[in-house]
Amino acid sequence: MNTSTNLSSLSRRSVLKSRGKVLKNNEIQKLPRVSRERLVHHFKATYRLDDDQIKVMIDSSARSMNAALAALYQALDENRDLSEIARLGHSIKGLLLNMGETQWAELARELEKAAAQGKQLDFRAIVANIHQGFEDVL
Amino acid sequence: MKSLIVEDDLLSRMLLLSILSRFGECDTAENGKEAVFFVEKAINTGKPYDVMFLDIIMPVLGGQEALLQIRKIENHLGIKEPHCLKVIMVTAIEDFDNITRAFEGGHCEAYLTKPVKEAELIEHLHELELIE
Repeated sequence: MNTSTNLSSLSRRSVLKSRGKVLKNNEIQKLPRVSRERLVHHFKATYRLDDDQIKVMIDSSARSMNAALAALYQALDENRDLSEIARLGHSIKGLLLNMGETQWAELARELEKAAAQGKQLDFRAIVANIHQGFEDVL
Repeated sequence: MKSLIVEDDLLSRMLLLSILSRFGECDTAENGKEAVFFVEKAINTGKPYDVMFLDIIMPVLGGQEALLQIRKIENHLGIKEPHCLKVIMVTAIEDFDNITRAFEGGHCEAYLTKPVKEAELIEHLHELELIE
């Protein structure tokens, strides 16, 4: 699977419209959108990094998130096995934890858990929700 | 200290690299297959790694499987404790089954959970006598 698709090179809104379902307010808990400032604060508070290293971490976060979202969208588009969705959910959960986004990681954990248990959730809506939450830093 | 980071996620690799590079040479691999290749090559060139940080769930070849292959290579080459590669598994929280499997097989020394915490990582390096 090609996980290197760079979503930032596309119109993110068009990607959301074409690939992700627009959520209804009562479907998934609304979480605060993630900002660059919030990520900078996390990396500064958690690790002993200089300004250049923090820039690297912000860039790496965006690249990792783009790759993780692209992989999930592709797996859903291709109706991959739920075990693959669970693996990708696990992967994005770890990424979100390292970004200090524990609430978003919890949402990813729900996706992973449901897929691992063979439950049919609206996985696309969850992925689109995460995508929307991180639009400002992608 | 020479270390190898095995992580499919770029951010995880960069975070570990930012910490471990303070203590010496540090290489990165993106999956278990690359890790096995790097470890074997390092042994064969006489400059083995002291420690490997190994993610468990990865594409191509997962951490558990990669670790089994590395232990087989060490066994085949007659490498025995305390000269075997020290391994710290890195995984997301709630992955206790995988952690337990790694410890039960006697194949790893410690584990870290994401988010990776600098103090915890350095404490493990002290415990394993990799740094003073």
